[in-house]
Amino acid sequence: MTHPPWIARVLARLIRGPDAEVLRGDLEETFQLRARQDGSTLGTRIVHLGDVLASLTRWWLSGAWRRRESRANPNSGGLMRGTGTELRQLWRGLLRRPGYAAMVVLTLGLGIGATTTIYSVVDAILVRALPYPEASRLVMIGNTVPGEEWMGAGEGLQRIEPIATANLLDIGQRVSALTRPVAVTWSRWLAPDRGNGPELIPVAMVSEGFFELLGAKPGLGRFPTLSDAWSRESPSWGAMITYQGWQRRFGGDPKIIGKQINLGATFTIVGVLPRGFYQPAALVGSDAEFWMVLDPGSPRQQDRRRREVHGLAKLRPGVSLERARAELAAAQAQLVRDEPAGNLTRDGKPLGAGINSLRDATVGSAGRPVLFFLGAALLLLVLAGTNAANLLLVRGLEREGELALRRALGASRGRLTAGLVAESLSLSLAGGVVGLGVGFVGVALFHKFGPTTLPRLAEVAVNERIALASTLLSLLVGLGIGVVPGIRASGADLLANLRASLHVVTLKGTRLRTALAAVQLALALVLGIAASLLFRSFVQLRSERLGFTPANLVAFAAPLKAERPWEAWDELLDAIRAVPGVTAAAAGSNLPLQMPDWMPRVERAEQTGDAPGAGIPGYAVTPGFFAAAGIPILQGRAFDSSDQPNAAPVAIVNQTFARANFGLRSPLGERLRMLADNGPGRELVIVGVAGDVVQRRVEDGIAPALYVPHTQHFAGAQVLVVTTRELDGLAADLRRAIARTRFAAMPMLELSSMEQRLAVTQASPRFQLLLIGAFAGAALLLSAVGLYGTLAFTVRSRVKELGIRMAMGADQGMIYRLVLRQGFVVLGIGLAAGLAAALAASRLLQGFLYRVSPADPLAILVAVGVTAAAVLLAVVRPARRAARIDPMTSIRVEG
Amino acid sequence: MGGSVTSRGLGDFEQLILLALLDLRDAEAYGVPIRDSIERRTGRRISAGAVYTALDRLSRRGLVSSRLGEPSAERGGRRKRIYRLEPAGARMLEQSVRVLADMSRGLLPRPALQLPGNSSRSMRKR
Repeated sequence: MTHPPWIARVLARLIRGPDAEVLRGDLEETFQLRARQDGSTLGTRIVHLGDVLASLTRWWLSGAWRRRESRANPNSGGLMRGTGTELRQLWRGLLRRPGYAAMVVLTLGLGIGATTTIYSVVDAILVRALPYPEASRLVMIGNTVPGEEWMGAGEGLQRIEPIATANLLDIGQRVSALTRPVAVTWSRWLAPDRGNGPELIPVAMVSEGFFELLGAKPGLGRFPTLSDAWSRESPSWGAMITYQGWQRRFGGDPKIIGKQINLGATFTIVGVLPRGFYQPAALVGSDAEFWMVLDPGSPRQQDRRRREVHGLAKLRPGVSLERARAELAAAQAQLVRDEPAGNLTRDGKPLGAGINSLRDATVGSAGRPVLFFLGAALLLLVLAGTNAANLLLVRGLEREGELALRRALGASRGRLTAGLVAESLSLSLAGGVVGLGVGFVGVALFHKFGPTTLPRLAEVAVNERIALASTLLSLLVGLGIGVVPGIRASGADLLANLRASLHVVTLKGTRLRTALAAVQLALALVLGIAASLLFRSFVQLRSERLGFTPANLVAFAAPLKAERPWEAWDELLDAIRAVPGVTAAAAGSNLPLQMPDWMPRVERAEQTGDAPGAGIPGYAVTPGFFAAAGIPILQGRAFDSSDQPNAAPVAIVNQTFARANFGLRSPLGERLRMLADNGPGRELVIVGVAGDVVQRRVEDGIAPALYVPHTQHFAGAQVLVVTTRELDGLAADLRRAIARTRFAAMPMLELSSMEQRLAVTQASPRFQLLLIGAFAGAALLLSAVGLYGTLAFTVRSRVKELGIRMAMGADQGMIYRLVLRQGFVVLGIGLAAGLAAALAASRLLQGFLYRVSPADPLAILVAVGVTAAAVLLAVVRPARRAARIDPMTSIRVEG
Repeated sequence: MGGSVTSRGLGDFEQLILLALLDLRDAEAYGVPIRDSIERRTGRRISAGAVYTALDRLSRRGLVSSRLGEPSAERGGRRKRIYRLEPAGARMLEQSVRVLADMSRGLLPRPALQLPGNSSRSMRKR
């Protein structure tokens, strides 16, 4: 519970002078007080931040800081004194026009806030180093599969597969660019039921030196060593537990060291990890709870065919990743010659070795969409800045008289410009504060609604650095939007301005303001087109046929172990069918919307020659699977009770498989060969064709797939239940039903409805659509308001001219059209520029679209239509107002 | 910021500050407890900066005096400025409260000093 350190540091810079420490001390103490009373929550922090800002404003406006300082040091002050007065006057001037100030501040706040939010994400994912000492030198090592060495094009990331420990250590010895690698792996161990149902415990196995490599120190106790490994003589695992596990399982017991806990396996706690230990998610997942030592000398780790670990190592100082990559490849090539047996793929190709920096391995390819969003946020910021610049320009014009007067009285041009720039800076800084608030809210929303699959999501936060970046950004924006109007206003022709202040209007600046309004429209259109395209793409995605019926379908994973699994499954499914409200139940080794984990390699039996390289999704299912999931059988039959283990092996293929292998011929009765790793494999007869079903995600398309009866292959591990009941009550009933069978120890995992699972697979495109949609909406609103403001001001300043025109015989319609025409000119320029920009940028959007061209005419038309409609709304009112001008009154109006 | 420093009467916020110093006459009267006293008694939320600017004004008028106190851990090792009500300040406060009491006697149904305390608007204008 301390004063947020970044606030303290900002305060240290802003409050100076001998009494600064007194005020800072007070603020610190107040925060402590609040935190003790209300807890150190976000709410407390926000209240405190508000307090700090209020205090700063007071302190600064009162001039107290300056007085004490000048008393202490009579030579200070001087030039700054005048500036201080000027600034205070400026603030008061702004406070007298709250509408204008609020408008600028909110507009800028929106833009800066959007940018701050997205930049927080960029910072966590792409900028911030992993929290380890010398993190940039940490690398992850593993095997690569020939032909699949690299991730997507041009990302510089290798696709790293697990490696055998013995192989890892061998190549480690031959590579001088790296320190000795340590081996890391993780898994989930099943702990039996203790009242809440069985539990899966995530555990990590790391060889000695792992924690030292990450620069971690034990919070309590020590790290496990080889002597802590499980053995027949001492059948328990000496384990390190995470801080969170220590709190949850042991209530933070300080005498934890040496205690044992039995969770299926027995763990003896030898140490507790420190609270802030950051788990290297690329190596161990993000939630490993127990950490044990991995013995590289054990028979399992010596077996070169067991590719189960990843390597973690450090680049030696001054060595580039490229050099390490080259050395590693050479070492691996040598190893393949020395130890060919454990270094070949299934089809006999030599494995490679790959290396990524640990950070790249953690983040993967998530960076691109995030950068795209940052681009969109920056567009919004530019738009907001343009809008604010326009407002400043208008205000500058209104103040021309005052400025000319001051100029005439002897104020220097520099001083006036400085004053105007200071005004825009103050406004943009206030906008930056609002933006920071928007950023806090945005990040909170991001955590709530953002895609959970994003790496390092938990680290996304508005921290000191981001606050600083956001402040710098607002300063930059302030300068940007202030300089042009500032120079214009202060450099203007004295006499003309004096006259202007006394008399009528000036139309100058109109062209600049029109251009700014057009730029805003163009930017809004770019965002609008992006949102419209994403919407089309999402609709397309949603309307794609799934091939099964997710409604009323609930699924869970059931790791069932039994001697004769097919009989066990029949027994289990019978028990589930007896649960009230359940109309059907079936099991499969895999379900739709899941990454298929069984990928058999299949070929037509009469085919000879090269074996196919890649497997296809395979499903071992119970007879009721197709009916329960609503998958149609298009030809032949579904599996039934005649498909017994000793009967002729049969298979059902999906439509895509049938078309790819048999064209228009019926595949029924054809024979397939399912290849095995060793031996000849087995022959299957096709007895049916099932409709195509989405495999992992809709956007991945549909691959050929194979179904076999669960009696003839290994049993399924996923259960499908057809029911109209809610999940909550159902889970308890299912649990009870399973407990009454002989499989009471089996956990029910990942229970969820298929509709929820579908929503999860579409969470990313949905989120992208929401985010860009929100940006586009804000952009459209800002630009419409901006255009409205520009036109309204034009009409106001042309009242006299319009009045004269009317007096000379122009009718209302003509005046109406005159103003409309100005709006339409802006619209035309904005649309043309926006369309050109959108088309130029459309390639960036390509990767986010599903079956929609980035130049999709319908989407573009919709965006253009919406923009035009908004423009029309913004134009009509000022035009109508102009048309209603009473010539007599208007001519009498004083400028 | 104009106006003569000595002849002016007390603003209501300045009154609150001086009353808080009375409240704290047996304790260390620095920013946090002063603010706490006012918040506790009036329910008014005020910022630390406001307290200091008012105290600064008062000390320039010689109504309060101050010295630097000891640093403490809960303030991040920073020193406090401890304030004391000077005789001139006490006189001014008494006078000012009495004027208010005299003026309001009989005009309000309840004892005079239970005036609604919320007049921060008038204060800000000064």
